[in-house]
Amino acid sequence: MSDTAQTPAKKSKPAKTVTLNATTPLEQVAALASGRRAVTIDCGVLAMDGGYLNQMMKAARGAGVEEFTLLNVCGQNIVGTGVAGPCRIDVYGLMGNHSAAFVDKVTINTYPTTFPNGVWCPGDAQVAIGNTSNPKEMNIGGSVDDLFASYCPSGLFRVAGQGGNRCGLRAGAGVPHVWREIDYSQFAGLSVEGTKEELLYRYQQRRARVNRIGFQQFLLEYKQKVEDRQPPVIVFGRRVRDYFMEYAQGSIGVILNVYNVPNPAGYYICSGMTAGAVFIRGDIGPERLGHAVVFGGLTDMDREFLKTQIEAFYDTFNRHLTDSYQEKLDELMNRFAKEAAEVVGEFLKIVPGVDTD
Amino acid sequence: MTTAMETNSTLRLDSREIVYDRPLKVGIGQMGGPYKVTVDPDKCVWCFTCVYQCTHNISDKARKTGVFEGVTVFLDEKKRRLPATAAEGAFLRQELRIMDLDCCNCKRCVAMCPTNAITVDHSPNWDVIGTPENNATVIFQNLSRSEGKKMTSSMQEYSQPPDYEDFHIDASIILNPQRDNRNEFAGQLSHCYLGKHPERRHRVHLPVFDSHMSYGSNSHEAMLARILASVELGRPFFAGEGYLHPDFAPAFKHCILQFGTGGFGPWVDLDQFLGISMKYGQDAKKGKGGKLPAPKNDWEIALIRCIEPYRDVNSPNPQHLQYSIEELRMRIASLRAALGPNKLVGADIYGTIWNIQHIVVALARAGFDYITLRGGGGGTGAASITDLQNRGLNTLYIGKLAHDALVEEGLRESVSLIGEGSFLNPKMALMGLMVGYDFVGTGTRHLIPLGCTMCRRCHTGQCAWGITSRPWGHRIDPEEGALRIVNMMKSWKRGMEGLAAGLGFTTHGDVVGSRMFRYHGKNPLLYEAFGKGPF
Repeated sequence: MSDTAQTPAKKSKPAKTVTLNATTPLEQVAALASGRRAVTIDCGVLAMDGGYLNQMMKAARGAGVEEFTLLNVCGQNIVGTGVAGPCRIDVYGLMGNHSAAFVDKVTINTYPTTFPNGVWCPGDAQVAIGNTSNPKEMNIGGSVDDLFASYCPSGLFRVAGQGGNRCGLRAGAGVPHVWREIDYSQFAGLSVEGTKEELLYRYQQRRARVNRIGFQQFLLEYKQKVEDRQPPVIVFGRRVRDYFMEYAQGSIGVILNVYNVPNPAGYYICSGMTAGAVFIRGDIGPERLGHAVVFGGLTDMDREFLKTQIEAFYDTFNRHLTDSYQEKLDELMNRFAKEAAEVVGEFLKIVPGVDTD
Repeated sequence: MTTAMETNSTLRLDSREIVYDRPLKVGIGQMGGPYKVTVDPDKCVWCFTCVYQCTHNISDKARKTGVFEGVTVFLDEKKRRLPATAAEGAFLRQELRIMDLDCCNCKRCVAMCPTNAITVDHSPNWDVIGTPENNATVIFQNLSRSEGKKMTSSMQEYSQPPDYEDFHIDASIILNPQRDNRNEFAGQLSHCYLGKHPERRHRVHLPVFDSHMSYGSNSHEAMLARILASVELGRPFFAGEGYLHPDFAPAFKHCILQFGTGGFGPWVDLDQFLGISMKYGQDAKKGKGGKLPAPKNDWEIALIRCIEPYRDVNSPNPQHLQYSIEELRMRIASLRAALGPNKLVGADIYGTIWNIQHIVVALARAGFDYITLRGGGGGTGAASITDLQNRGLNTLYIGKLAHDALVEEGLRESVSLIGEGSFLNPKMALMGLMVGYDFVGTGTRHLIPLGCTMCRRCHTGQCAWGITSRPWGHRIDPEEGALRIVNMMKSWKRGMEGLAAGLGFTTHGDVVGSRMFRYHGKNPLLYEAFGKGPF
């Protein structure tokens, strides 16, 4: 194992990083990673199991590692799930099913790579990536399959390529700050009596407030907290399939349609959506809209938002793409640089309408 | 009223009258409400407590009062009406108006009346109608449909009481010597584990659980009372699909979250919770996702569920994150990774007849720690009446199917079974354990100590007891409510332990799956399962 520890890792300072692989025993991970800010884990294409990778990352995170570089990833499941944020995970290769689910305050990037056997692997990701997650940022360098960013309460999601069915399913409206303020350490060793006391103390505070100002006024105190939330933003570079943002509850979806294809989204777009908005560049027939959603007009705020998103998308994926895609993206960006207003004007906005049922 | 009397000392009280209001409309179907409210004028002390207590006004929500309304009429000397800004020398007439169209028989007014002057009874105009087949329920439901009303209700519409008197336990002195749970170590049910994996199992002190009910369907106070009781009783608290309030953070390590098809909640700091239940079905709404009506989705609920306020919110019908049995394993791996080690992951399913065996075996193989089976008779806060009429199978029957299937596959020792639905009393709860459930869960029974009288108006958000209505939640004292639940559950436990000892059992493990009872009733399914042949 000492050989592994001494292997210089790619792209980082040798003194600060360490490379782990499938033969590294789990018990040694903490010792090898302690005191380092970054580790590199070589998944060895099919050599490492997703669960093992997950445990290895958790052990390293427990030892204080803040940056992970995963090499030769090929379909390993649950990458990053349960790894405490804030941290950064760079994935070279293909993330497997249910990866980045439930992550919180984590930055995840995937990049295309060439495996040791010479096979080129796109920076894609499989099914249900980032479900129920609150990532700081998630940038997928390739395409994703079904259920990308489904149930996500907050976060920023970008996909360079295309998406499968039901991307952004029931995406939420943002995590309120109140959940970030809870200090769980004070409840660690609480006895039954202590727990009851803490619960009742909190209730007394609430009750006193309700008594003083009345229940309706008390509810209004939450209004500001509700408005302060940051809803999730899901950006696709190319196109998505059916049921995009189905049952969305306040999130924002953007499809840039870099390849300028007709109908860059499938059928049943935003079906059952009750809040939020979707921006799609290109033509969408009204028959493709889901139940009770309508086309809306772009506001100035929307235009500003879209400009920021296009620029950020370019900054994120520029020079990490395939040649043909890079060409198309450059084409779009050249146009954007000259006539930004027109490019933004090509977006359709889809918002919830009135449910007559 | 009092203000007017204080400021204008010359006002004199003329008379007091109890007025039964005229119907709003006449014609087809206008036969009043299903309940008749009468106030005894000899007993009434005109305190107007009933006016304040009644919250039910669904026929006209603009009305500020419920069934009762206190009215003061100003009269001159010749008993003619004066405007409300009465002149000096006026007489007063106090009226207690009763509009019993909206009465749902919750009996809040009866319980709060200081002189016991109120009687709520069935209205004969409503009940004495139709034929045994096309009875009042059929007639009035179809009339409501013809008027374009929303057909939503709470709890079961066509529930029949389970025929628990037809179950007889086998306490034979010769074959299995009876024991005394008070004087020897017998019938002890306080040492059980939820989950069978030696590293993940959770110590539980009572085999009766509180079922999943959402924050939002229950008021803050009702929820808090139930959490306090569960903490005190040493059992996990099952949150509903609506996540939990951050004020309950001290108790999170006792709480199991539920991931419904709506996936509501922020889903942060999951390692602080005891576990997650995946909700694959609800007995009350088979194959349906939940629907949160806009008025209930207030600012606070929107904040907790991470949705936008004051909009109707629908949940998808299926769990899209896993479409097949093969995908369950992956989902569990993902949940376990999020929760951390030593945490529980469970599945909530409802009792279907055709393939319950295959489903529980698949769930057990996938690696769930516990499976909650919801049988027929389980309630709900709001569902379409048609869904409620599609009642599930008897909980004991599906428990037998599930337990036997797991035993046959050699999986019984890898998963805990929880049964829910119509466990009305300790005897039925023990019967549930003997059928093969490790634990039984009851929902409505935990609301009865908080005041629930089964008036089936949960879906209106107007619960006068403050259980399912958030604005009136303060009518519940969480500490007292918790104490009542704890007392009730301790009494259940004593009853169950007495029966268990009488059957010769020693511990919880002895009881589970020992079918020492027989069924002698008319239900063919139950007779087939428990009435004949060796067990």
